[in-house]
Amino acid sequence: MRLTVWDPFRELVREMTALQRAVPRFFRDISPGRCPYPPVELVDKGDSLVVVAGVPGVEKDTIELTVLGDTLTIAGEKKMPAEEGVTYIRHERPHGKFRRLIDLPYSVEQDNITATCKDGILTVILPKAEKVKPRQITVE
Amino acid sequence: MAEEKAESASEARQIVPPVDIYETPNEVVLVADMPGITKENLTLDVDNNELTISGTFEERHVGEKKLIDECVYGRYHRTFALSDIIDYGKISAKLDNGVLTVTLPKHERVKPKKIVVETE
Repeated sequence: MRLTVWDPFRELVREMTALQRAVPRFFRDISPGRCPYPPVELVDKGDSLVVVAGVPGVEKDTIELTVLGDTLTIAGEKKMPAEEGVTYIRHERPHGKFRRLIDLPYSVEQDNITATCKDGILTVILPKAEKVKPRQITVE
Repeated sequence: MAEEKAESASEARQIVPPVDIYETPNEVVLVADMPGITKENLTLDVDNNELTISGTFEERHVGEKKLIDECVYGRYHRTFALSDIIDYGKISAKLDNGVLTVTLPKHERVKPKKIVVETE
């Protein structure tokens, strides 16, 4: 019989994973113990969805934005500030390639999505598909 | 209008910007992530052997329906103790794409100097 050390964290992760599967899709990104990168804000503005992501130091030409169905993917690469001939005293900034999938709660008009990147902030405006836009109904 | 502004300022998240600090023979360089911060709202203070960097990235969608709300906006603030090998008068900084790079040159006397060995 092989004895394995009881790992309370493994149980916790198992519980959390089961819980994650039960909650609505758009919370999928939050994994226990790890902050997804980049941090985002997703706002429902009625006629459109707006995604604001913090991507300081990420060069615009490494950013890849794709929409497939109801999922927006933000991918890119953030390089270390210096590599050769330097001694690092502290290293806290995340670096390397990243990819984050964001489940959109509504269908969007894929052909009219716009994105801008300024001061390390990526702003993506996704107009909602006609059928999911809120409509006023007048009562006769 | 003034009241609205005050409310959002006091509710602003405090964010400690992550930094990379590295050293070369001539200087110490500090790189901080401060997305959304522009030259207009960035403050750099050197006071009493301490360097403080701060700036606020104001909320854009106050009171709107947020489905995900992570640390994008807030008040960035961090203080660092400066070693006395730094020549405070020569500190320079640049802000690009949400990244603040502060260059802290070392005093001449602490820079490594190559000694040429003469051969007979």
